[in-house]
Amino acid sequence: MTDAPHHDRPSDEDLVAYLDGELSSDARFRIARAVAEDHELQRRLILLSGGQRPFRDAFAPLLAQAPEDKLKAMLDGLPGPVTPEEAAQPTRHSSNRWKALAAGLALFLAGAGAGWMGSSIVRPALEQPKVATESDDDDWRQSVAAYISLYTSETLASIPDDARAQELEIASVRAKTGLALSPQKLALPDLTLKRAQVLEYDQKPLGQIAYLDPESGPLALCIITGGGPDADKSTEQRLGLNVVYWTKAGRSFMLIGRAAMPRLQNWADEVSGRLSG
Amino acid sequence: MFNCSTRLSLLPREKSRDGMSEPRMIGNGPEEVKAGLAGHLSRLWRYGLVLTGRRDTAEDLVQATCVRALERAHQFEPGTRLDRWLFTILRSIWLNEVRSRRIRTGEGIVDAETFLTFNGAEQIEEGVLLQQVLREMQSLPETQREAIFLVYVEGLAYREAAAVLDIPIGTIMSRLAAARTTLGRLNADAAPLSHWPEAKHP
Repeated sequence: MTDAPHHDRPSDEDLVAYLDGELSSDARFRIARAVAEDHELQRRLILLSGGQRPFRDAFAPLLAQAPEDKLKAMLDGLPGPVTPEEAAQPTRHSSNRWKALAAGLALFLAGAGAGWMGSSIVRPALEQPKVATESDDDDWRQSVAAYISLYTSETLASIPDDARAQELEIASVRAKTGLALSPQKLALPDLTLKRAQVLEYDQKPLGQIAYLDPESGPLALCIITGGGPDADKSTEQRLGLNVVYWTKAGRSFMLIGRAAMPRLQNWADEVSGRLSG
Repeated sequence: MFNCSTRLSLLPREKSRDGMSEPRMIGNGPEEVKAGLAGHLSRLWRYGLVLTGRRDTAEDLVQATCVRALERAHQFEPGTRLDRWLFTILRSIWLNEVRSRRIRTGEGIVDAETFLTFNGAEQIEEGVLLQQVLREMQSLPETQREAIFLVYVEGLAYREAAAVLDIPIGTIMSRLAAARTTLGRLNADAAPLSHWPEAKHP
């Protein structure tokens, strides 16, 4: 509750608080008495009252437009809350878990900051110190999944198909990953290449080639250096997205999207064959 | 000009905004956060939409807010209003992390109300009222629009809105008073007798 001044003439702020029911009963009584005796205050009160609108009703339809199901699915995909004990003494498990999430958040913010204009920007290193664990390999895929899960078809559809710009973007990814990439090598059946950009994960460059599939929406081919020994293709699901991942010549790859696994595997075979050839 | 019926309509509304009407879970903070988040997603998205003017960014903001809220769940005080706490987090992420980067990278900000007017409101039947209100709100500074949204749309008490916006309660009051003066003048210019139905309060 807000107190109106005792002696001064009530201000517009006091009158609005009076109209909004924000005053203590004492203050309300004082204002009512002052208004009853003062024509200028009556005039002000009418003006301020006329500034009311059915704001709540007007904004109500927007609630129905919220993508509730999608947001709920997103929430379900997040790990449980950090407990006070975990916060005070982070265990290895929770520290890794939140490191992955924090990285995903940083990637998201990097994307939001750079816009979807396809500019290739090397992002500053993540704040969290690198802790070498055997699950580091998982962490980067989890981060990418968290980032890609935010993509919708609209995210990519708004990017203009500019061949020259894409060539420059791909050249930038090529320079950062040391991989002989070209628009021809990256062209995949049924998919439209929309953007190539360099992000950063754990102080390592992360190349991302984003595609749009008319059937399933966004897909991304991601490449990170320092990937360890060669590993054949494996599949997994993360945050409701299908993933095919492999390691070749010190680089880890993942192809991620909502497309069915067999289609994803076909594209993965195609692109991995071209990139090693 | 100041007749009896007008005077009656100027009586202050009785309202209870102490939050007791909303069911609460009394328990430990993290569990309350996890259980309560699902019930606030649509309102968080709407706040994100009003702030950013973009549906996709609003979605991103809700996700980032959920991640941050779960991460900091131990900081939530059980028994206080979860939605207010979430609003504060969402707004802080928008202002400090997303919007500032956009401005730095020259992307700029879509005017939220322009966006809503042309890309949101017209898609829905009930949008006529929204469009009317938004058109009038265009004439207000962003800070006043945000105060209106939190207090009159979301039903926050002055002190709660002040906490979300991290400003003194007196600033909330002056923003609302300034906004209502402007809108009141629009009203007086357009029609001597108000054609607006009385707003409903939570």
